[in-house]
Amino acid sequence: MTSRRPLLACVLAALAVPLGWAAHAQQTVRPTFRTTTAVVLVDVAVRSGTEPVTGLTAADFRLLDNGVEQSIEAVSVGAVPVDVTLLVDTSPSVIDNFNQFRDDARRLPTLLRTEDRLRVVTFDRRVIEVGPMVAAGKAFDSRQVVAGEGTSIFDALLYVFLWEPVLSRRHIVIALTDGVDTTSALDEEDIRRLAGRTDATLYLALVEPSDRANTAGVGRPRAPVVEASALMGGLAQAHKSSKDFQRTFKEIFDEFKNRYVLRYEPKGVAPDGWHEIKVEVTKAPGYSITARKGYGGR
Amino acid sequence: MLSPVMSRVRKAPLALASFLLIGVALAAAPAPAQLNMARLLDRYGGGDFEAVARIVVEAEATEPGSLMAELVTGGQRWIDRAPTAEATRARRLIAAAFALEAAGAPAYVAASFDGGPPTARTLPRFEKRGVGFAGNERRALLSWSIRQFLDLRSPNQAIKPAVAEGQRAHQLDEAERQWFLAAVALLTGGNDLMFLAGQPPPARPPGPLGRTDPALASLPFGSVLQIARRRFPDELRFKLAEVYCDERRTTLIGRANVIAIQTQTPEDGVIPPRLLEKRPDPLAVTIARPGVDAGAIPTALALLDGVGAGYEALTDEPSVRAEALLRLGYHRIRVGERVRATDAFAQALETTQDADLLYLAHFFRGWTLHRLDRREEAERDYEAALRLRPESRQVRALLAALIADRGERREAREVLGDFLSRPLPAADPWFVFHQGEYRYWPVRVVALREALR
Repeated sequence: MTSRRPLLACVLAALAVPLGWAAHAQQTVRPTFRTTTAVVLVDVAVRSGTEPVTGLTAADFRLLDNGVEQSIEAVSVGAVPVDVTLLVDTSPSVIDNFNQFRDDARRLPTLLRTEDRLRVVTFDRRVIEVGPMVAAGKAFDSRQVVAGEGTSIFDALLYVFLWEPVLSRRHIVIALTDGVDTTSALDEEDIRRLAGRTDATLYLALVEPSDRANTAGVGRPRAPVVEASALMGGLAQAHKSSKDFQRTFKEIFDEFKNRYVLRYEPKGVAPDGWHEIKVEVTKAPGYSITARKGYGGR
Repeated sequence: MLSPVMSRVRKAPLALASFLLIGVALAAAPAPAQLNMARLLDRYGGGDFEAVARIVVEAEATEPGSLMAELVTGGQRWIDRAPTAEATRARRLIAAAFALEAAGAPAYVAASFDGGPPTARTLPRFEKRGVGFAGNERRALLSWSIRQFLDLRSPNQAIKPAVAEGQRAHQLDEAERQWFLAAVALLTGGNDLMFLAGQPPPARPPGPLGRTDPALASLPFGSVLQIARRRFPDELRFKLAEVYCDERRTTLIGRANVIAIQTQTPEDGVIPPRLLEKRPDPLAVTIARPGVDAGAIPTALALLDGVGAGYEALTDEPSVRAEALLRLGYHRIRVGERVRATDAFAQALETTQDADLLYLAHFFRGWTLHRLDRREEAERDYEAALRLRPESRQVRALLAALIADRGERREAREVLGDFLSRPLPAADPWFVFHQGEYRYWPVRVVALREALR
């Protein structure tokens, strides 16, 4: 296996001259949607069976952008600090899970590394950033997570996707939710478009809607949120109880940290429209690969 | 749908407002147990609307239904003591207006909470809080009022127009017309379609009807709108409201009484294309999406064409043209005619100076153009809508998503600001678009009071 830190150093050094990474390691990307910078970042999970495959290099990958092979650079996500946005559903339909979610929000910082950062955003009808992005070691006051009315998960995804990413960090969004929207201004089509426009990876820790919420017939189904997560190369998994906390988040972080970031500047493809991305591992075609399915061009 | 807990949270400001109003009312009025209906009606008829309305709010808050009981006894005695036939009719109108204000009491509280006593300027500054409250009590108050307008000596006789052909309208006729306009506003806000419009076609037979439905049992001659249209056949807003009621019955989302607060995007109202294709055979349809009331589908599909034609017919009438065009455009969105929808919105924009209608027309056209991928035009419409209603989170979110979609994330964040975290704006007409005439309830009350002076 290739040592992660030397690899990261090599990649950063290689990129430092053309992009000024060394001088602007914490500088935000501007404009932040990748297509305007003509740089595309793709998180890729590679598994052999259920086990993550580590130690791969750029030479092991083949990436097609709208069918055109691209020249890529690769780095292990595990070597990169992570910005986590925890998106907490506080709507009536998850009222049975509310205390669990609040507890999850309180305990999540303990699972992060010191170099990682965390912000907490709640949503019901309103979308509120109750905890700004700060170093993971800082305590989060979970009392700020309070129940509300309505469910605007689409609007909440807009809010978190507008996060200005830092070039040297990766951004993942973990949503604790039942995935059912009832009150957003945006709809499924908007979410699909946004999913193709963000660098973030969306993980869904899904619970079942509460029987007590009595929302049958008024909500939009969870499928668009799950679809958005898949489009972004994320995962959706069941989050059944507080007992699952450690397992759920460990699986998410392990999955994410074992990913690779592929970076390329699209060549030979028109900048406009939807770009379908296909990633292969050349040395072992049998590996299963999870990566974003594409992105929206200008 | 609100959970009980959420309902309590949501009602907290309302409760506070009620508390404050009760304090004011207690200082100026007798306790509810000592309601003197004759004295209240005298004061109301004398133009002391505010003080009496506050007493109404208090009485309904502390002892629901007490006013109705007092109206039937003390109110009727007060009417019967009028010295002349003219005075009797005037007293009937005063009592009916009083009852109507009682029926709209929660809305009154919300309006007052926004900034003191309602005026023509401040009354529109409220939202949907009157939805779905005390339906039966409201029906009782309105039924009693309508009976005051009609000659009930022959219950089966045809309802005559308030103004006979060739005659000039009396001041009291105008007051009655305003009463019906206000009642329609209130009832569309409450989505009480059966009481308001009766059975939907094709079940709606000609002539006096509706006695089979409990909602209409208390009315002497069919639904409120049927009576209103016979009393005032030239009033096109009643026709508009009738088309609107049919439109509500084409909404294929769950329970009708929550649609108004749950319909957040124009997309939510769209009829699934595969249902539209089934229109010749409505009974063959299956449930279109989770939560859709399958039983409502045949009725909805049968009404769809009539709704479009109904709005279209009203676009030639200057008094309702802008609203008919706006609703026609929205109807076209729902049936998948997006390009034709933009035509209707464009005409609406040329027709009206009403800021609420202009806002909605820009919002709807922007949304439609957005979905047609005509993004620059959509952006211009969203911006125009925001100039009219800067607090609209719907339009801000859509505009931010549009800007983000072209890669300008920072600009999108600036547009969005902190609007998603704010409480819902009290005055966004989008939230009352699906409540028909309810947007006009405050101004209708003011107009009714003016007509009674």
